[in-house]
Parts: sequence; C-alpha cells; structure tokens
Amino acid sequence: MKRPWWVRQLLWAVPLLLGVSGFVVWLLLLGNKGQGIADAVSLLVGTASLVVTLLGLQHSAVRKGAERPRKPLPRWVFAAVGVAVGAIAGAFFWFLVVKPDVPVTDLVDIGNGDRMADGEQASFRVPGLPPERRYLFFVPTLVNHDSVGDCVGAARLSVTLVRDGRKDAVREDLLPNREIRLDLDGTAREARVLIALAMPDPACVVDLDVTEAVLYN
Amino acid sequence: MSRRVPAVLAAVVLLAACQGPINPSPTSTGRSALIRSVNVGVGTDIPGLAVLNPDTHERRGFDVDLYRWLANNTEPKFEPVEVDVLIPDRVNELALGRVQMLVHTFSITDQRRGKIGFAGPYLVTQQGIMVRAGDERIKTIDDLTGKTVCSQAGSTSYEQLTSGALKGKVTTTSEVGTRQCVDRLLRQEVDAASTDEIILRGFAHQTPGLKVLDLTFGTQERYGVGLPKGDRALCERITEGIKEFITNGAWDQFFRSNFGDLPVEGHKPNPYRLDPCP
Repeated sequence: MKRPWWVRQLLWAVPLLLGVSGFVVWLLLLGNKGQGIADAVSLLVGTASLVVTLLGLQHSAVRKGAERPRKPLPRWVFAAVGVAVGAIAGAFFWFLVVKPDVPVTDLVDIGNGDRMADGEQASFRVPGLPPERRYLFFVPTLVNHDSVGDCVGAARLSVTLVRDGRKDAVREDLLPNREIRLDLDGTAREARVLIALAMPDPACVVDLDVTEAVLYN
Repeated sequence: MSRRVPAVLAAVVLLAACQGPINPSPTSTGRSALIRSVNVGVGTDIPGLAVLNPDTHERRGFDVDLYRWLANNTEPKFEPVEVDVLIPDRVNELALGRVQMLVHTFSITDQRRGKIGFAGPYLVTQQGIMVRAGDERIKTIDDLTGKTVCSQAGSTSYEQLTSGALKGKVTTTSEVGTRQCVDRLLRQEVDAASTDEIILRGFAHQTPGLKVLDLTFGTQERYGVGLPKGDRALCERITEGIKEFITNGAWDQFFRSNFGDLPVEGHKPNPYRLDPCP
C-alpha cells in the first residue's frame, strides 16, 4: 500500500526538527544570556519555517499531479508565507520577549580601582537609571604591573550588589577574570556593585578593571 | 584433528601474550613497571631545600621531600627522574618540555603564569639580607642605599632589588647561584647578599662568618610546583596533593627535619587557600 505523500515527508521533517530542538536545548543549557538564547531559539524558528515552506511546495506538486487538477497556489506564495511567519515569530521573540542585549562596558566607571591592596574595595554604578535589563554580566580583571608577586593568581573577590541603597548578600570567593552575573530585578532607581579584594600577600598592588559588561534579559 | 592442534597452540600462545602486561614484573626498584616516569627539575645547591651530595649522589631538602611525597601519594603515582636545572633556566626548561615538573624554590608570579602553570604555594618566604658576621652597617632597608648587593640572575630576588622602593638606590650584581654570591660576600667583594630569607638561613647555618638580618622586604615569595601551561588536570591533581601534604602533618615533619627550629609561622601556606588552577 502506498503511503500518503505527507507521511513520507515526515520521515525527514520530524527527525530534523527533533535534532534541531535537541541542539537548541543543549545550547540553552550552556547558560547563555539574552543574546545567546535569542540566537538559539532563532535557529529553531528558522528551521521550522524552512520545513513548513518545503512541505508547502511538496503539497503543491502533489496537487498538481492529482486526477482532478485544481489550480494550485503558486509556489512562491508558500515560500513567502513561510518566510513571513518565521520573520514575524523571530521579530516578536527578539524585540518583545528577549530584548536585545545592551553592551555597557564603556559606560562602567570604576571608583578606587587603581593600585588596590589587600582588603580594599572598589565600586561601579550599573549604567542606566534604572538599568534597562534585568541581569548584569561582567568580567572583573586584575592587573599586576610588577614583574614579581603572586597577586592576581591568588586573589579572591567579594561582590555585593546594592539596589536602591539596600545591600544584597555578599558573594564571596569569586575569581578575577571569570564572568559574574547579577540579578538586578526590583531595582527602581540605581544599582551599584561593590568589589572587595582579598590577596594573601599584603605587599601586592593591582589595578581592577571591568573588561566586559552587558545588560541582558 | 591434525588441523585443530596448531589452532589450539596458537590460541594458547595468544592468551599467554595477552596476560603479560596484566601482572607486570617489578622493576629493580621494586616499583611497578606501569608507573610513569616524570622528569622533575630540581636544584643542587640550596641548603635546606635541595642539596645534591656529589660523592654519594644523594639528594636531600624540603623540595626533594615534597616531590618524593607527591610521587608516592598522588594518583596516578609517578617515578621522579631528577634533572638538575639552573635557576635562570627554570622557565625555559619547563616551557620547552625538557622537564614535566619543577620543584626548585620556584616563586609563583603573575608574569611567569603567562608562560607556565603552577600548583601551590607549598612554602612561603620573603626577601632577606645576609651580611658578614660583625658587619653592623645595615640595620634597615634604607641602609642598603649605596651598598653593593649580590643576587641570583633570573630570580625574583634580583628583580625585587632592581624595582620598587630600592630601584636605583642599590648597586646590584648577579651570579648564577646564591653560592657564588655567598663566596663573593666572604671575599668582601660585595656588602650583602639577598635572596629568599629561607635560603639565606640555610647558607648561614652551613657557612661560618655569615648572618641573616631580621629584615625582610618586597612581595612574598610563594614557592609553587612549576607545571606545563594549560594542563589543568595535572595542576588540580598536584594542588590537591599539596593540600594533603600540608594538612596531614608531612609538611611540618619535613620543615622541622630540614630547617630545624626555624618558626613555621610565615612559611606555611594556608592549605585551604591554595591558588586555583586556571
């Protein structure tokens, strides 16, 4: 018995969609922030659009070969519908659900970050009053300008988020040069980040900087 | 039947061959033949830390005790093959792969981390000053101004003398090893010798006519085990080994046997605050 045309098409469409879905889930599990989530979901939306378009084209060809031919819709209509659906869904997701990330590295101005010694504290205000997105991702970097001293490699950071003057719990034992993510949810006016430096050698002096900072949802 | 006999014999031979490596015969040293050999870069003339007796070819010192302990107590165990390395050659020997590990009064620095990896620290000290016994001219760091001080070339000690607060104030001269600086100090060619305080104490204990001042300066010298850059698994294994070395009492035992009544305080690292492996 001959299978209907659409059953045959599902033999490639379903595995493709399952494979892409699995890949997207894996990407999401990597812990991407807003931009990464959008990219991953866009891949799934784009693949689904392609499948719909191809199935539409196939359907059109089958109808053309049927005994009682009816004037089919032109193929470009199916293609255009597929592309439009994908584009609208992607745009909706991007602008209304995810919102684009906001790079703010250049806007971060660190106070007391130069020539820091053990036990000293630096801080910066999160750009935006209030910040435009819910989360902040940033990478604090320490630089030892001397050729001696085990300063950066032995350093630990304690980070405290201050939202509208209220301090959150301190996050301790963080390493420099690693990304730190903070949830700014509930900030009505201003968010500030305090960074305290701990180094085992009291003679160490380092500069603190933020090499990347991104606001995202 | 005649065809089966060679086949059975072949199977028996094959089985016997397969069983060989499963029960390795012990080597002459009594260690399993499967234990990996690792080239360990070591010093030869650093009293208290690494000394090679040229007559008996015996090595002793805190560094020696450490890598032997690590060889026997980290998994997988390894057979250390000692390779004599000069102080100025330490980074290159490791970076070029001639040794896979360096336990050689090797101070961890952020700059060196750019070329090689470190596990540790396993011992902490600071810059010290040694003068001839009876020489009372140097009592503070400022008294070094205008003096000639000898230190090892290619060491952090030499860099500390030529940077920071002492930059431009001290006339520095370098030698390939502290032993040569000690000799020059005894010949009155220099006013003082400077290197890690714990090394100076070893030389002063061994050589009459020298004294170490109760004076330290500069950043800490935090000795680490030098490792190839980027080998995170090895770094974590050795770091865990050092932590156990410190917490289980081996550190104190070897410190006492090599440095006598030198106070532990200021030299023993916090085992729960060892440097993370990048």
